[in-house]
Amino acid sequence: MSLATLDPALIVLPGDDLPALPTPSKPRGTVKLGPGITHLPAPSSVIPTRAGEAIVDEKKCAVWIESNNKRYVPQVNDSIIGVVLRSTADSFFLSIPGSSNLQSVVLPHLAFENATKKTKPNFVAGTVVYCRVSLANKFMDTEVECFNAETGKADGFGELKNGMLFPVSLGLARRLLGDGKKLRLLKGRQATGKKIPMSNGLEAIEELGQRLSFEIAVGRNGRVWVNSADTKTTLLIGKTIQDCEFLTGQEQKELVRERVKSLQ
Amino acid sequence: MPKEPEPSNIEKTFILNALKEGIRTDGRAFNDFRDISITFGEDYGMADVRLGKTRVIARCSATITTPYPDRQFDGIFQISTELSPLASPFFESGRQNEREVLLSRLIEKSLRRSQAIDTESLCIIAGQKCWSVRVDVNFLDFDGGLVDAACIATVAALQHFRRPDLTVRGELVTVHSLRERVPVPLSILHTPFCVTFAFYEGGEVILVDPDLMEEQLMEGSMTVTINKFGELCQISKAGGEPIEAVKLLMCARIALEKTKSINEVISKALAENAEYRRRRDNLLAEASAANPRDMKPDVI
Repeated sequence: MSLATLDPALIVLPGDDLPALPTPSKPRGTVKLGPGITHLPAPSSVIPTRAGEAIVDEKKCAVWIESNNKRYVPQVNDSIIGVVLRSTADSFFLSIPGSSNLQSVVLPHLAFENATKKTKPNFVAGTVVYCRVSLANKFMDTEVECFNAETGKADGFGELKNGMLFPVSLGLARRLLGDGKKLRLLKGRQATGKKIPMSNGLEAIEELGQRLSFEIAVGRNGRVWVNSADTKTTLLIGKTIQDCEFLTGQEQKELVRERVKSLQ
Repeated sequence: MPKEPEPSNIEKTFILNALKEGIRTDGRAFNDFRDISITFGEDYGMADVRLGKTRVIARCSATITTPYPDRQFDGIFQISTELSPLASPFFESGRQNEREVLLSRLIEKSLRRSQAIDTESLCIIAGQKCWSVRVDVNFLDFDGGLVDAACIATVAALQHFRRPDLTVRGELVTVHSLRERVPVPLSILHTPFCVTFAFYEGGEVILVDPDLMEEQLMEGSMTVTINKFGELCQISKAGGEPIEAVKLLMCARIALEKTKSINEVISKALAENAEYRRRRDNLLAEASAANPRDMKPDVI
């Protein structure tokens, strides 16, 4: 499906005019400016700094530009997949595949579920961990942790054993995590005249999940970890997810069916 | 500048286990090259080669200079390769590292020292004027296989290149513009191609054209340069696990096969491009003496 079939006003280039900003529901509420949008103080205006699809979310009172890129910049609360580089007295140093700052991501030894000074994880260099960014600041080292800060539970974070990592684009990684799923469905329905077979971003995984058994973890840094009983299945799942990036929901389902059939 | 990160432990074990089962992670057979796609620029002598995700652009150009005093009957042929951060954030510009030195020397050995171009044909007036042909190779994306891709790009650029025609009268040289006379192709003696092999399991598993991850995990590698007539131009095996002589012969045979198919890909791309050019500017028909009066140039 080409972008032209969407409402053309939604695609913006840097410096273009944005669609009308959402109006906050409360009298002194704020409008949130997301990635790709900047505020110029004088005269007060809001312009896009990236090319992509301008998304206006009335409910969250937010505007952002949805675009695709390859290099990851850490943001707080992102779930990412990192690789241990080395261990020091009180923390691990991680490299984040897909990001350009390689030496400066810190995972403290105590940032695990039930970790104390006596019981701390012992990861060798090259271990893959699924973690959450807890501190992302331009001037300080990025920090990550392997537990949910609210409950103190692991919640699936921690070491990823066996399986394989597959690189995907950052846009696909976000879709796989279900970002903007509702918005995309809504837009598919709203599109005037024709019925647009929008993908909600998850058809491939859902279809694969019905047919095969596997474990999966998606990092916002553009890596998908897949583990299953045998090499062929793991490869098939990873490859299918990569290939589904530009397909509609229906095409994704068909591709999965075809691939799974060829496996058996 | 940070060093390129090693593959993580799970990637390492997964890839190596898959190889033991006879599977490559990108679904190729052990003896398969990645897909090669070649496009040429609007001008003569620019080739854009993609080998899987690796992408290389080679630009061939020619100027008239004075030949080296010790090689008065020869023209000059140079190849310059540069790894810039454009291809990967782990390449530094300006400073040569080991990979870059190895790469440029290999390309040099494969193409210049094997006399792929007849340098004598580049001489215009002995000792005074000659062509200096230069190929600039730029890497735009990096997923392993730099040598193979650079070699394909260079050969394609050389084959695509046309230099302006000359008339030499005594010591007077006239350079004809491309419009005035049909430009002349370089005199290429043979077209060698590099084929890289990666060894695993002590030489038991041999892969053709390893990608970046496979390159990082291999125990040893070997680059064979061979032309389609089966003439071996060079073999480079810089370190790594030793391999048996029989395996080496086998690799050379595979390389010959691959070279033939690469040659076909380039010829096809060249033919398509020639057809496109013929339609675009109809130079050949205009320059032809048997140009029929009623012929109208093709309209694109």
